[in-house]
Amino acid sequence: MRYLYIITFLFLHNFSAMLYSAQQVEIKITKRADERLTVISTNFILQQVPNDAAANIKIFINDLNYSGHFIVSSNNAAIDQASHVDPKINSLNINAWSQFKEDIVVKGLLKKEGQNLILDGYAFDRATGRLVLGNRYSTDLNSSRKLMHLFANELIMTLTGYSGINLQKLVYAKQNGQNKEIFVCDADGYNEVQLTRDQTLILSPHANPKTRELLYTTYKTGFPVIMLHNVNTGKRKVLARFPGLNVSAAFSPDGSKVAMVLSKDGNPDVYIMSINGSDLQRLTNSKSIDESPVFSPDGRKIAFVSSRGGSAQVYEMDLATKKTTRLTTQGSYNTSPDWSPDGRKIAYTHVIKNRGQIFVLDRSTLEIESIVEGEDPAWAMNSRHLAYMGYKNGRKQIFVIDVVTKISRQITQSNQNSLTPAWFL
Amino acid sequence: MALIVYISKRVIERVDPSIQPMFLVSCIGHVLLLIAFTIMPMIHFRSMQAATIQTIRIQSLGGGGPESVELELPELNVPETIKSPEPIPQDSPKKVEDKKEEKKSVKEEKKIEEVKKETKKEKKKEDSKKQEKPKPKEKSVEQKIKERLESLDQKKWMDASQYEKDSKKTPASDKEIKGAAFSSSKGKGVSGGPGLGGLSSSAETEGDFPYSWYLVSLQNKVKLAWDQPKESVHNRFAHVKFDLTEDGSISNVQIAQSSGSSTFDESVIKAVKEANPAPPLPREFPFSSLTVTIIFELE
Repeated sequence: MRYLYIITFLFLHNFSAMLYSAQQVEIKITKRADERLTVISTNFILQQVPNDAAANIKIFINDLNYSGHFIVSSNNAAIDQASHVDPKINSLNINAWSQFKEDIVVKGLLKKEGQNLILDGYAFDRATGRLVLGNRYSTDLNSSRKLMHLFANELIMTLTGYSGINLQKLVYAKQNGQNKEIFVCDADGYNEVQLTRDQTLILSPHANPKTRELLYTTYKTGFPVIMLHNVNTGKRKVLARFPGLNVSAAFSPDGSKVAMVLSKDGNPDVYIMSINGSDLQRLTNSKSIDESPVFSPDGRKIAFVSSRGGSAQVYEMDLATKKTTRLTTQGSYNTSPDWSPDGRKIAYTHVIKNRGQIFVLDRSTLEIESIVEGEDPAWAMNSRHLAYMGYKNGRKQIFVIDVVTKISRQITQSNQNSLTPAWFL
Repeated sequence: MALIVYISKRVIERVDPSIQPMFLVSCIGHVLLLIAFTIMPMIHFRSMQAATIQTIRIQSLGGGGPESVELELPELNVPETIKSPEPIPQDSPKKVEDKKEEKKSVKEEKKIEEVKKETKKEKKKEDSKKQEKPKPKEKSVEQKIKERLESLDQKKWMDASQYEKDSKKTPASDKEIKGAAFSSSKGKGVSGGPGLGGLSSSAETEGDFPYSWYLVSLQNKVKLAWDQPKESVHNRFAHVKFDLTEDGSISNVQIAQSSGSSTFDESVIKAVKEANPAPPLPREFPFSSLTVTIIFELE
């Protein structure tokens, strides 16, 4: 009798272990071309939606396409036919889609309810009909673009684990006659807003990754000073106004410190300072020019450019030990480094014959990869997209590129030059 | 505790006075604990399923002044049914369901069965039952449509599995067969066979994880993080095993089968660690973790 209890007990134990033990799966990887998920985006069903609704679906499809994760097929006759056979929004009739090869089918219903726009977004596994994502998003009538970006971001996250960049913003300097002012726009170039009206030269904006604060250099007072600008309140504060240059300011990842280039002690050197203006500390002390400092994402190092070796190269400095290591070895002019938020890569501009080429350096192997012609790379939060300044029809424009697939998207379409992009909340 | 003692006293009185009381106490205690452990994760699942309102605050720029738009995202429970996998190409998903059913019936325990009904497993059960009913009708339609595809794919699958066995012996012929597996796989997705482009799931486990898109994503992320060793290696295969949790975090990375080259082994361990976090596990996946073995192949 006793043994029976014991056996039953062990049995139960094993059974529960089986219930919650990990399932197993085996996959095989060879280093071949990146294989992207394929997605069918059906035409969203519209209910009493304003006219620009059809354009909204394009926003969503663009977001997916430029993410670099997917190949999206949309809006052709076969899809419409299958949608006709399978009109239900919240389920997938796999028979209707059996002729397709794509992995995922996306369905959407956009409707107006009072003063709100509501999007019910669904994604299904095409082969099995299983639900991948089903969410309701709502916003006011004027923010329909956000609605689409939100759905795209969620879908990208669910399917790939990467955060989408579509709700981030870009901040950049844009030529305005003789002047340059700071502008900000959505990640797809829409909703451009002018932030400064100093009617002077403003350079190299850099954004705090967590708050809506900006650092830039303005010549408003006649010589370059570093300005801290809170975009929420509109308040501005001069952070550095030393004799000589006050340029190239960059936030630390936690926003508590600022790295910058000052020439108050002779030639340009890298300094750091606390965000409230105290604790100024000189980091480099070479006779050559040191410039373009940027923090590593853990805040323990900075990457900067120095010509101490005879040519402009990217170096890094450990802030605790002050030990300096040269990172780039090729070419004679490498500049404007930016450290990826995952800490693994540093993008920089490699200048040959006055043309910039963007390179990405693997921080652990020091291997470099050429990405695209352009300058001033800036990593998005997902460590996969770079904003940069490229050329289109002789003008400087802002672009965003997926460094894996090299799919690039022109962001600014202005007839003025736009340059030095940075990501912004 | 008082409850346990009370129950055991009653049992001793009524059923079998010869049982040692402490033993019974421990037995009942364990059973209660077990039930608690069984129910708690399920409650967790249910709470995840239930409609929760997340508020996302997106602030818009408006000439410097603060302005915000609040977006509400209630998670939709999927009304109606999520169509279950059709029983067309090969029977693997069904087989697995059957196995689960068997396990359940063999291990009958009333309490646990009750508990199970609350979980998503129930869904699966129902799905599989639904599947069984329409099977004869759908089979004729579906199979006619897909018969050719199926037979073709099965052949290729045979090739692919054969390839895995023979790969060590005849590496020279690999690429062609692999290519076949690669090209045939895409449309099929879950149904088994070669699984996915560039990756092949092993026969006995494929049905457990019918989310082909997830494996494509996982594969892409790991592949991206992998720096192939440049030195020539004798054995071109390394097997890495690791655990994935719901949020996609990777743990217990270990070499399941060494390539014999420490550089190669290190490169694949590093690749998997750098791929952390992996994509979050599919929402509908009924388990809290997944053990994955990745076979890395040098070109």
